[in-house]
Amino acid sequence: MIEKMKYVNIMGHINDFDRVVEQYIGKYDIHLENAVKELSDTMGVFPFATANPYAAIYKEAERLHDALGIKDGFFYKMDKENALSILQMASEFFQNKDVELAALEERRNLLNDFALKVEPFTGLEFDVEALEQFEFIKLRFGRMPYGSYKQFETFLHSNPNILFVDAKRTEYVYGMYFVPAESSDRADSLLSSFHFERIWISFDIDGEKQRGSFKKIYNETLTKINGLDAKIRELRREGLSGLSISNRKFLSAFNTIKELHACFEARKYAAKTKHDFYIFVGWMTEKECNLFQKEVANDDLVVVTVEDGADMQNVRPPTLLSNPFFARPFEFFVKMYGLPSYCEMDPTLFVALTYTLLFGIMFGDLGQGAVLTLAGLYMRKARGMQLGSILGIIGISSMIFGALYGSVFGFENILPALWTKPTENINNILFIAVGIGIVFILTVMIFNIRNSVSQKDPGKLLFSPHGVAGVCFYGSLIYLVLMLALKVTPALEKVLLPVLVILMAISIALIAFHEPLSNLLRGMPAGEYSARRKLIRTGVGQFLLETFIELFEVLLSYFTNTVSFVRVGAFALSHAGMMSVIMTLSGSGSRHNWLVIVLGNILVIALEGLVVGIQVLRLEFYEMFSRFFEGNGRPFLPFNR
Amino acid sequence: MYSGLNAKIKAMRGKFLKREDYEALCKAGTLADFGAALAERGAYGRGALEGGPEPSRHIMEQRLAQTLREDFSRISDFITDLNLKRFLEAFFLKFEINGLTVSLSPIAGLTPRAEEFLEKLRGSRLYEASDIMAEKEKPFELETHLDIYYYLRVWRLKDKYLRGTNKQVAEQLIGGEIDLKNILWINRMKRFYSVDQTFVYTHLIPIHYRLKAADINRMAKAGTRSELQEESGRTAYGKLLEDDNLDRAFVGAMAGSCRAAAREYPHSIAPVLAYIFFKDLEIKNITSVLEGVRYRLPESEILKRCDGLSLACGPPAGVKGAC
Repeated sequence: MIEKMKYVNIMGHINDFDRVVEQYIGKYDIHLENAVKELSDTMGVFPFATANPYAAIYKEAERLHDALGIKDGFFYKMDKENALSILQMASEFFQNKDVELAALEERRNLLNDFALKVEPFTGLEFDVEALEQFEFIKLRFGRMPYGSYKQFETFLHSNPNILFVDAKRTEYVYGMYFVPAESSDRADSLLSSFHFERIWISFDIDGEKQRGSFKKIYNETLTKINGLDAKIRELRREGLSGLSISNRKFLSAFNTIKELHACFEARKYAAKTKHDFYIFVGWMTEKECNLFQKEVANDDLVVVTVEDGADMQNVRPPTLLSNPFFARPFEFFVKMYGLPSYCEMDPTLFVALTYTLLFGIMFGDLGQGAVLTLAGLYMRKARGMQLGSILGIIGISSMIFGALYGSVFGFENILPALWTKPTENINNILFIAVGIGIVFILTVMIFNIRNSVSQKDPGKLLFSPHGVAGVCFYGSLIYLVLMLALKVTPALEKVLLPVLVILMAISIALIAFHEPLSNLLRGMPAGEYSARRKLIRTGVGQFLLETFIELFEVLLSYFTNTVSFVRVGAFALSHAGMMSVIMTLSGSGSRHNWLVIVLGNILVIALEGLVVGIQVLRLEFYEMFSRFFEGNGRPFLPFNR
Repeated sequence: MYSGLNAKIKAMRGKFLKREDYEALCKAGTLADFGAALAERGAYGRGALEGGPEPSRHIMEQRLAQTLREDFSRISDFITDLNLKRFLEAFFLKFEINGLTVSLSPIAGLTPRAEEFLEKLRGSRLYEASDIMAEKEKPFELETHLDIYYYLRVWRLKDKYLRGTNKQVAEQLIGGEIDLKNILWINRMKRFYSVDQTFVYTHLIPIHYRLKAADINRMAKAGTRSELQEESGRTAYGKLLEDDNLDRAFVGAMAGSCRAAAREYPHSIAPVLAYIFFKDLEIKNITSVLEGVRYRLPESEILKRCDGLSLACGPPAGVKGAC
């Protein structure tokens, strides 16, 4: 079913705006339309152009909320000032903390760089103070590529006035050299031609002199770094507790502001007039609207007008489906095809019934149906999958037909068939399948007629292949075929036969010329000259050719769509067939190989269950929906969600 | 393993060109004739040199150089020891670097761009190796650096992958080559250029085999040419360097030690290293002949310019030399 919609106008003075939003719009399910657009042909209506004052604090609070990883839970209502001050405080607190963290990190990086520089020299057993006391000797730290170092070694052999101490070897050799101060320039340029890169180490960190051996300095630095790291980690981990605000309090403040923010967003939809009045325009379900009207009746500051959704000429109401619990899961399939528009019929109930019935016929097995039901329940409860509910329902149908066929997990002989065994009455099953198809097709044609009435489309109602003409033609044809096939010759035959043939001929002609005829009907009330000229869009020759081909296609589709339902019976047979293969594989006689039976059942449930599910969906969409359902509705989206 | 390997090498060695073959090649009038004549003879017959109707000398040279890699992989297929294979891969890097650095040497008026060259190496091990070096922008420095990188690496990997005789042979051949190259370098710098002493040192291969640091220092400090010659003579390689053409002496010394090692240690990688050396030599010889043919020099002139010819094929008197 599609919920009845009311078109609601809410008006009042602008000073009262926020109260109305909070009290009514936030509370009732209302699908707001953009009022400025809706009222575009009214003069003196403007959009609200104020920026949302909560935007900044809301964004900041949301960031904190995500960063702190606070789980959503119970929260209470709070007044605006309180909430704002709490969030302000939290925001400032964390901003200060960020500054503090940045300072700590800077110092950590400084020490890290220092440690990296010192690390290669930790093998040297010098005291830093001692090195700094040299007066006539200069020393340099640095590194050179291994190859260059070996060359330099050869060179040193004959040049003993440089002392090189190597510390660590990787692909570079780290080390330091000592030279007499007066020849240091020459030594520096010499070393640089051996690709010696100087490393400048200052043992003065933030005015703090480092003392002792390289090893000691390095280890001390590492300890300091670890201490800083721990401090940084702790600062990061420490959440709101540093501010003595409980998570719940923060959450409440956050949600309060979130609501205020959302309420303010309502201005996007509202319009205001020159005289400082606001207007909301939107849709409500009939039930909700009655409640709303009752509450608002006592409110002198708000004016509400309500119109019926179906009466609206230029706006299409949104669609909200409402179905009984067993049909509700099948809304999934309908929405997959398209949401019905407001004045269309909601096919969900029909889908629920037919889908369940057809699946049961095609996949009738008491045991496997039970498995499907259980699997569906599991998917629904544990995984929250919509498909689970559908699976549960069609599983029950499968169980019912399993009982009718007398089939449990492929064993055909344990239970007596309450109705019939498909494999023993192949023709009957196939004929029944086609019979069901004919009933379904006629039903959806009637749906189409109903839709055409509510859509006020007389052409579609009378002349379309799925309209009145279609029903007449298809019904008569079926009746004739049945009479011929069953060789019954009712007394009425003499009168009925020519009547039926004439009816069919007229229907066919109407269907063939449905396009100009519809145009004629549509043009009639206006009675304009131009309408007559537009009866046929193209030339006469092309029109006839198109008409002929279309007619051929329509006739063919009556036939193919009917025969298409044979698959319903065929799958009932194929299910029994597949299970009998598994029974044969599992061994004959009383000794079964249970592993084969279990695996075979799993295979059949998975494979055939899937195939049958898809085939039925195909029947629904192609054989039935295409006849009456357009599915171009727009969803009902209440503002408060 | 070595018997199969040696049989393969012996078979491949049989395809080395003889003196008559070189003479025949010299007689070729055009490059196309040259290619055809070479294709008739042994190892180069596999269509390697049959270019289009008008083959270019550079393309032919490139294809010749490629045959070294092909021969190497053919031998490598006969080696089952994975460590040996790894070592030989490292050894072969020398020829790959040679092939690469050809493009760094200046060709008539075209200044080679070291940065461009490096950019093409990006992602390879050689690029990373060049990364720790300053002065990348000078082609000569880059070439030296890659050389040094190769020798340091092969010297390290030799210890990692080889044992026993194999290690001894590799040490002997590669160590000898390093020492000879260093002597050659010092002599060249001293004889033909007057350069700063550190420049000599920064371009030495930093490995000492039988040439000690003291030897190098003495040579580097030698003032006159005769002093230098005397100091060179006093090193372990003195006898080998009596030839005044040092490059020829170097190749001669290398050929001698390769040949000796292959004869003395047949059950080792010595024959492989020797084969690669002689194959490389042959390719160089053929390239020289090719150049001669290209510039239409007379046969005798071409043969005279082929330095390595007598090393590859023995003296011209007809006495066949074996490698």
